[in-house]
Amino acid sequence: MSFLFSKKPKKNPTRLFFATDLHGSERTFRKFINAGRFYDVNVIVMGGDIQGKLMIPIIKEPNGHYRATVQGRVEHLSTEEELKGLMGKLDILGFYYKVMEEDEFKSLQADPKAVSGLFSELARQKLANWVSLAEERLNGTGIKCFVTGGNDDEWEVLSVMKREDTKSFFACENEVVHVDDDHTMISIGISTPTPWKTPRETTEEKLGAMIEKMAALIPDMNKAIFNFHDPPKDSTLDTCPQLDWSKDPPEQIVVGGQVVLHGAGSRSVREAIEKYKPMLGLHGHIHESQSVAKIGRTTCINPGSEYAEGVLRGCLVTFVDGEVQGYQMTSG
Amino acid sequence: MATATAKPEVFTRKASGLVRVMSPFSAFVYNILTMGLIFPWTYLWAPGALPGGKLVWGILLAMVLEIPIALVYVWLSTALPRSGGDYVFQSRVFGGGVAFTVVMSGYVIWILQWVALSGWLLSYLGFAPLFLGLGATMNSAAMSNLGIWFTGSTGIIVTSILNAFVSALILISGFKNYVRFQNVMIVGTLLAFFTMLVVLFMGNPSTSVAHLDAFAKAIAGVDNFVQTARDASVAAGVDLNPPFSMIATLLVAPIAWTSLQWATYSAQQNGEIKNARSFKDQMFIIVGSLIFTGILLALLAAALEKAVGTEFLYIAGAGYWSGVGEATIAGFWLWPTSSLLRSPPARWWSSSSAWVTSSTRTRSSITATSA
Repeated sequence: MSFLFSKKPKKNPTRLFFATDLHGSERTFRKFINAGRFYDVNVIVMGGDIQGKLMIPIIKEPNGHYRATVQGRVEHLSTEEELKGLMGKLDILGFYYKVMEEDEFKSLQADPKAVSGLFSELARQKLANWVSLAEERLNGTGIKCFVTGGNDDEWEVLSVMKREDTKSFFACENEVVHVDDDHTMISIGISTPTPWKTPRETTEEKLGAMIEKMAALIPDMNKAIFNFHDPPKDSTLDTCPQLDWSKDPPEQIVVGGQVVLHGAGSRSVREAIEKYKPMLGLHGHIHESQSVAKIGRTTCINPGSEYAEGVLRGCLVTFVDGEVQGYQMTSG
Repeated sequence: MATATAKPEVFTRKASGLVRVMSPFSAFVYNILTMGLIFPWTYLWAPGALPGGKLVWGILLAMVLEIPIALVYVWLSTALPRSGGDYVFQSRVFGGGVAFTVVMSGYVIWILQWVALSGWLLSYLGFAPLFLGLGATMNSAAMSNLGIWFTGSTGIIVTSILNAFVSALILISGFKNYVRFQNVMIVGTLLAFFTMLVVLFMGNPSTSVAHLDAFAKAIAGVDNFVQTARDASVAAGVDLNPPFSMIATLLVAPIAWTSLQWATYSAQQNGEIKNARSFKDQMFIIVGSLIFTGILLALLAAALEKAVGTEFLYIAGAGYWSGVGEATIAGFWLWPTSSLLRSPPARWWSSSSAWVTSSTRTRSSITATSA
């Protein structure tokens, strides 16, 4: 009779923490790495757009003082302590910076290629430091950290993440990775076109083809996670102001005093989710559209982003045997 | 660490993301325009209602009392630099239900009155003295009649509707355009304000009496206006030389505070303010604008008392508080600064200042309700 009362051995659920769109913010990245232990999770996943957007030249003046333009204002720094304070502030904001003489600044101003080179160099440097930091902090914890790029990240910069010697940190873009014994994840950081013409954009058709190619590698779709930077179209994960693409920078379209909102996500991503019905969809891209939506059986999540404020927005997801048991949005 | 505005020396790369449209300086200006620099109740109503009260001290006291409130908003804005201001702060502490009720009654319903009130300000304190002054200077009955029309209910209602319409058009075109427009408004306001200060500081009670008498003669055909108004006020029981009253001085503060409390208004727009998380910037925006406006208001009160004398402020107040008809000009409650300004350009500035101040408050009320 004992067979009637015997329980099937219960599997331990996997706890995953997802965050996205840090855009170079040092403080937010450190919070992300520490979130693994803080929230007691098995896996942490970063959904792309990790590269910063702005570089601040800190110009050394002949009198030994420094000046830098931050958010439209020129800050004059006379002591090393003030310089250190400014660097800390720029780290939080996710801006790259370099101390340089006036001559170097002027020559950079006249040479867009050199500016682009310096951007890449500083971004690679920062990302390399982040990989090392993640390895150091996660060493011995058993927590796996998966990071993909987003549409704002350059291929050349992302290549820094591809290291053979890492034990906790894994660059997961265009790879099928095992987040635990049962569940697999595919990651795509490229998005459909944006008004900013960012480094990694493609057409809906090509993105759809990329997804098809990756999806074919998944052994069990019921236990699959789609980590796609671009959210599914018209899913509430992608609601943002509609922009006038003819302006540089793009401007919000205002009708009758109200900003016009629309779904800026990807049709191909939505179609893939509807077709393959994975367990979980992890998305980002639209910072202001923090949301969770069910598309068929798939739980789709966009935790949003407040990187410029130094705030890490994320989502804790618990799943077992191809079922999402629960999720919790976080902010801190 | 010093800061200044200048041509940006930054490098950007092609990356997605919208740009916040309001600089900390624009937010500072936004608060000054919202507080307003020429609100009449402090200058016209307070002396009549609170005999023995000292205007300047009352205004400075209001400024000091507002500083702790301003600091609270600085810290809240630093911690939660998001659009919505009060709603966000209150909903995080008390929950959405309480926050909705308080903000709906405190901002949406209460502030909507400003749409009407700013129309009155514009009509009664802007256009009326402008055209009355032009009528007196140019000897034009048509101008004077137009000025008087702006003091009546039809003039005020028509002005209010048009003012609300123009304000709505600016806001409908987008917040970015409002930020551009306020740059024009602050220049106009400060020019008008400092012109008024100079004229008032250069004046004295005896010359002011002569100007007022000439003004009243030209507008309403009244001879010896100031003396007549003085005699009528005394007959009505108005004490023109009350002793100093501490209570009255303390009670001036809440009246001045109705303006100065709006130093925290930029918190509603934090989502559009660049670097809104910065404590230093929020101090500049909220506390800085409060002190700047408080000092200017106190300076204006001092200048006004120097130009017309304290006694005349009680006579002017008697027209409103005691219903002394002789203390009005053609039924128009006195707004001493307008009639003391001698040249039409100065009157234009005075009028533009009133328009700027009143229309700014209208727009502020509309932005609050749409935020």
